[in-house]
Amino acid sequence: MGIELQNITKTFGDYKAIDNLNLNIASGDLIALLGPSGCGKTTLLRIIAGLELADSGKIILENKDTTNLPPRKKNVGFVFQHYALFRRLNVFENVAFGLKVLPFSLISR
Amino acid sequence: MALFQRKRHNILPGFGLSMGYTVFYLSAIVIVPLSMIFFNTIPMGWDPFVNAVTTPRVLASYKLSFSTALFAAVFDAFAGLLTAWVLVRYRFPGKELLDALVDLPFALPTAVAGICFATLYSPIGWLGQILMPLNLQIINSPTGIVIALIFIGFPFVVRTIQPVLEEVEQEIEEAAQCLGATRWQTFRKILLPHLFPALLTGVTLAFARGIGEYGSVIFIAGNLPMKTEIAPLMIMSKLDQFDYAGASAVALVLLCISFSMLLVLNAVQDWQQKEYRS
Amino acid sequence: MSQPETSKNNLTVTKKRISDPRSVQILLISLTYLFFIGFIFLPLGLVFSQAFSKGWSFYLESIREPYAIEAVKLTMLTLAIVVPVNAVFGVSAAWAITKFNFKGKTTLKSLLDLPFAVSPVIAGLIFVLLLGSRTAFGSWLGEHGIKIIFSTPGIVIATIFVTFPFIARELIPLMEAQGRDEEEAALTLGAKGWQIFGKITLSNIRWGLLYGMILCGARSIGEFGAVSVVSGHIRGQTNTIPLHVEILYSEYNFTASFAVASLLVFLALLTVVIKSVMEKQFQKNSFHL
Repeated sequence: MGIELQNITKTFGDYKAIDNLNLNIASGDLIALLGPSGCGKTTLLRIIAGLELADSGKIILENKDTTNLPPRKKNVGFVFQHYALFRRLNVFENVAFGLKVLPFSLISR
Repeated sequence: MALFQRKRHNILPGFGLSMGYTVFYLSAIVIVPLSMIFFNTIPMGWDPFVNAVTTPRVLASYKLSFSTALFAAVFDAFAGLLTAWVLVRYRFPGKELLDALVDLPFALPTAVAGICFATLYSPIGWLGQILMPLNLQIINSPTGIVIALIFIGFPFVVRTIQPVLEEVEQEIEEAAQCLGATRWQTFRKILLPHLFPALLTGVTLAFARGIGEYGSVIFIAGNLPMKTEIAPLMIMSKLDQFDYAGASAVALVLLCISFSMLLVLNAVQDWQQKEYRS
Repeated sequence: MSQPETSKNNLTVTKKRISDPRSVQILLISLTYLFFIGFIFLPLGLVFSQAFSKGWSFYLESIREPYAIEAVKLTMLTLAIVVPVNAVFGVSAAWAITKFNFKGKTTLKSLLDLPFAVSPVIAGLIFVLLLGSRTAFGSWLGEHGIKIIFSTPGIVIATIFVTFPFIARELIPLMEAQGRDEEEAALTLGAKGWQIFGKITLSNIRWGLLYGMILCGARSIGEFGAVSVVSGHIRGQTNTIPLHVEILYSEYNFTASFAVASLLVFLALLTVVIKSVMEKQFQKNSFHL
């Protein structure tokens, strides 16, 4: 099972963005979330990537519980709405960035 | 096309009056007085001019003004970056107070700053009492000058970095995080390069200001010839002796340095504008 | 710090910005406070502790002393002349620069930065060179009984030089951001030059103008280097408040010196507070150094 979301709930103030969501996505599947603006799609993606913390629930990626891991340990590729390109770096440096920040322990693999 | 542009020029009324008054005012207040420096140095002739500006005492004063301004500006780079970061990113008690006080060195008359630091670091001053026994002589030394200049230049760095830091898109840092960077790596590789043009502008401003600074420095400096005599003071003392030519000569060199700083600053600011245009 | 994100049906959802670890935050905030204590709070505290070290009555005496009062009067007189004169210039320059296109606009703009690149001592020097009694122009004036250098007019002129960009520099970005549309619209409706300026432009720029005038005023009061050169340092006649502070200090009259200086500190704090308040009231970053 690639991505398993169990009982995810996320509230912002009075607004319940995600209400007890359960979702299983198999490895290799291509899934699209559709919905009107403000229904929680981006929030859910950010929770999976670790950019938000869910109020409750578990995020299991490749059979590992990653609920409380910071984004850089989650190994989730994320494409941002406004590209989030590193303007101060050139194209090569933008592409190479993810590799250049790898800790040594991973490089030797 | 050219015709259209020419027609656009003076659609609104008042060009003649406003331009005329502006040019007149600038000429009377700025250009003519400044040109007096040239009128007083050109008759000197080249050799006397060079002699006047290369005496050991004058050279020492240039070196002093230049180096103290540089040290202060570099220190301000760190202090200013730190302050801007903390003010923009964090919430903590007293933040609004600190934010407002950043402007204090700019609003405070230089003479007041001068007597303040001179007293603070004097042998019976609050800080002087602590530092003197440790053999750290601040007063009557270049260090004292640097400290005064740090105070003066500080707001320039903070206020140029702050707006840029505020505008940084959250997504950039998140993207770096997703790609595996630690906070420090994100800061060093992404944020710092982004802030660099603004940082450079602020530092250049602080530096240019520091070279010509007078009021806040003369009290703490002690004005010992060859040791703690800043260039503006050299000009003052020549004026006191009615050596107008000598004063103008020293002033001319200082002006050249300042103007080249202004050019550098403009170039840096242009670069900054270009880099930050989205 | 969080940023609000508004979705189309107007529900605001706050994103939690990536923040630094708590320990790093505490360290950086402490370092900042350390810097502020050393460079801002201690000096401020020193002024007041020294000013009041001989008691409240000595403090009042120092401020009410005749020479001090004369210094205040001279400073106020300078202020009353410099600010309006520079305001007229500032508005004029801003109007010329922002409402028209012409060659040499950048040169003109750079000229406005000049005083920031010129040491205050040099600012004083040039007027001594131009109007001093030993110069051609100066001696001609002297023959007609007009003394400029080492007298009040010299102080006023030197202060004008040092502070002339402040108002223009505030107005130019403001008016550039506001554009020409309103003025052009007024023109099409038949308004004449002064009507356009008075009814349209002036009300748009009034806060920027006020703020620029406050900055200009604060700087006029506090200017030291330039005034030091052109003034005769004659107590009771050609001393401004900063010069008076210097004289008292050099006579080892420290308490009195700080007492008078405290007036300037109050003023500086007031300026800082006004700036803070105005920035909150109006758009951020529309006011700058």
